[in-house]
Amino acid sequence: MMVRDQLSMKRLWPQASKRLMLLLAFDCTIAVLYSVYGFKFLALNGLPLAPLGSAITIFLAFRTNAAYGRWWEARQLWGSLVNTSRALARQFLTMLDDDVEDVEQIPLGRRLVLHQIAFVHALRCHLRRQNPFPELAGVLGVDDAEQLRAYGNVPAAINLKIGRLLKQAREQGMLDSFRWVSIDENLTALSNIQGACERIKNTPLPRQFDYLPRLLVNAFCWLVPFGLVGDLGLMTPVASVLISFTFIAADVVSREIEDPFENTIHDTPMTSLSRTVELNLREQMELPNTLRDVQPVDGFVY
Amino acid sequence: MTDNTRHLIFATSFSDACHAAIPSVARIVDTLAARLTILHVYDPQKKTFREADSMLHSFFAEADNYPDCERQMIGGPVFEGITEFCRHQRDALLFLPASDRIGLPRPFHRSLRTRIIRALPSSVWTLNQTQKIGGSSATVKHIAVWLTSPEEGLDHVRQAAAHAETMDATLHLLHVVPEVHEGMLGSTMFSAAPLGTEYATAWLNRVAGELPQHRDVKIHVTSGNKKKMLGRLLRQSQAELLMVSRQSALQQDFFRTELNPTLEDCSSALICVAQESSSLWNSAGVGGLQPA
Repeated sequence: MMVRDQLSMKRLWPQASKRLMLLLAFDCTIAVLYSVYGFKFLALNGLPLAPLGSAITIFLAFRTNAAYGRWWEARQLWGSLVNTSRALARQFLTMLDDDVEDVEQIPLGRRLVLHQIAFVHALRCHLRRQNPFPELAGVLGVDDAEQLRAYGNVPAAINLKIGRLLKQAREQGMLDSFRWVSIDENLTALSNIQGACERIKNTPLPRQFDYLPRLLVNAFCWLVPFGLVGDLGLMTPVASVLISFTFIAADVVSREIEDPFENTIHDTPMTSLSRTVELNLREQMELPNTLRDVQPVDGFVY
Repeated sequence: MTDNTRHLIFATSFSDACHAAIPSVARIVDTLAARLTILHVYDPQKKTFREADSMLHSFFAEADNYPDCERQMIGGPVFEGITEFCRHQRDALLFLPASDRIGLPRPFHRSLRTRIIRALPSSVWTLNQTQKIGGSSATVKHIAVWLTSPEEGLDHVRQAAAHAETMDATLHLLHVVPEVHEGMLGSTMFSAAPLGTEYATAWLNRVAGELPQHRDVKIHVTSGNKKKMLGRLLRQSQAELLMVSRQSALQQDFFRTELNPTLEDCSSALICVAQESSSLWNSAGVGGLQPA
């Protein structure tokens, strides 16, 4: 996620450069043919560029809106994951009956919180198609991480493991039914968040929304010099490339944010959010903190 | 450092390409149970130590939870910084992604990656811009090794075999016989590379037969345009990783050394194996292997 005020041109340029350079060459050819060689038929003043441009703008705005909707929903889901994690950690640490003489009980609460931290990391890796096991080994310990290798969906497996640990706590008399139900609601919320993230990840924007605007923008950009050359002559490429850049940039920007879990600079900042969860939860457990906050790198938070 | 040490050095400039490479690094660290060093070389004229330190600790932040990970920062020129650091870690594998696309041709650009591959005594793992990052927990099941001629040696074959053994993967030996034309007369005087597919198959079979780790070796030989055919062989073999010798990874033209254009569009990750074998994957016991 970008946090700096300006979008550097070097971010847009690689995606737009090929199209723009081609258009520039084409615009220059049209301008020279018209102005130097007298090919007057190239000037199509009656070309309805303005209505066509407006129609494309509507298409692009719709597409950008849909892409932003996906990006914002992803951000909201991770916001609620942070909240649910804090709530669950509080419940794990305060709702398990704490018999000071039984040394097993306090570690169980902490173990549950560590699993909650692991869930957040595993979900991030699951969405970015990244291997979570070295990280899980650091959080849960090697043995617990090894057990999770048997599962394809690691965050769901961790959620299940939390449920099993709670069942164990209930059997040991550390948890009554009311508190069990209360905690279980939050575990279901975790499953729902994971499911919603997977839906965004696995369902692309309908291809028609992606293909048609691009096709229309390309067609429009190729037509622009014909509409301008009659009035602007040799200056046509300047105006034409500027107009084309506006449309191409809008197309590129919406395309970039439509997939918020693809490990790019436009991602939901999952690394930063999962670090926030880990720091908060470790603080709640009163564990010594050796981790740092994740800061923006070159104006981007990952 | 013992023979069995597994150490991965991830040199980063915090570019988009470095971020995109993180899943690959995580996969290697997990597969090899490797120690990870994240290395950043910064220019003190452009960045303060504090800024560089903050960026380094925020990059690949999840690695803080890895069992064996450290971050190293060096001030000074990038090439010298990386090579100097790696010179003291000869058993390590250097991970170096391609630089970001800038969208314009760079006729006078000198690739840092190429200079480092050329200068370092250790092996370099790199990704091409076209490569798609693999699945999260998917392990490497197919490893390819490209043999160009007997002159390049068999260090890379040994390491590939040892790596395939470690990963329980299938090893694919690839060779592309060049199209025969009049201009080849000169090059054949300096190379014993086979000029027919049958000879090439026999050569690769001999190489495969002498490998101590030869449980599952497949031979792929074809003839034609190297770039096109190597891509086709890689697709055929479904290899996720291609190992090449340093000699065939680099190509010298009139003005500079660059990454072999044959490998530019390669769809799998690439390891350029240094001539002096690193002990990242213990390949002891295959020292006697010589091309026929």
